[in-house]
Amino acid sequence: MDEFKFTWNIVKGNKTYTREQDKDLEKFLSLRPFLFIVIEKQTKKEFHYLIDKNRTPIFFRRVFGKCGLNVMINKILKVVNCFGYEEDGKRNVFWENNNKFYSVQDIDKFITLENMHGSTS
Amino acid sequence: MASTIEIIKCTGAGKTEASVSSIALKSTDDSTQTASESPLLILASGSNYSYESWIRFKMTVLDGACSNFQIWSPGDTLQSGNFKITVNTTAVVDGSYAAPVDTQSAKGTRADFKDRDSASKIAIAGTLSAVGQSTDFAVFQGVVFDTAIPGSIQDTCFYSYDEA
Repeated sequence: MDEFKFTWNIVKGNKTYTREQDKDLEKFLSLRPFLFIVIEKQTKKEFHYLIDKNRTPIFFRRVFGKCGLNVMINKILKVVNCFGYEEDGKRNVFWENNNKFYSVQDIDKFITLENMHGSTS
Repeated sequence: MASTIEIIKCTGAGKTEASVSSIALKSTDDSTQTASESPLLILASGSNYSYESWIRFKMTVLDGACSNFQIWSPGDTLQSGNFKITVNTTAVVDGSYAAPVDTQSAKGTRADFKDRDSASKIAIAGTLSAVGQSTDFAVFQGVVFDTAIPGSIQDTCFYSYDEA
């Protein structure tokens, strides 16, 4: 007889998000100037967005397929703390992950780090 | 030397295979992200479903033919009333593979896995007598009830097979 394990993680929240319904996202945005989110559209394609308080995407990186800025959020997969400031009319944003800071220009590095799992799940 | 049997998880429309040692019931259809990285959300009302986990046994080293594959649960250790795992109790053959879904699974006749303990094991058809051969599928799915309690949980799936 052998065995393997099932694992699962249950969290509170709503599965479906819209701009009107998503109270959690509203709360996050009230506390932080910018958010970096990984979302999933109804097409099940994954997108990485940086949005400001007005939920305006100021940077996005699509992972698969075509994408536009006018999206309806179907599922938020990840929310990452972001910090930002404006200087001479230029908006600068960076975010923290594991005590390291990344700029928008490092977004590919960040995504790579996020994808380094090595799990056997 | 005994034959080597690996646990294979298939994902995506292309039936991408990966050898796994545990199965994360999660909100993403892949074989890399952990359960914590792809958690299951508790809905305000109703049930939420993980992506199906299409699992089968595959021979990677041949010493003797392997058959009589069976799986079963420890019994009552799952979160009764908050979360459950369902699984097919009838055959799901290779030709019926379809991209995993995160809606209620309809693959085979579904049963609560916790009810299929050592007294009522589930047979997975397949006699593996050559490297690369695989059994039929066990399609697992996690179901989160709106009464669920947040947390990270794990449980066990036992399996056995006979080697000639």
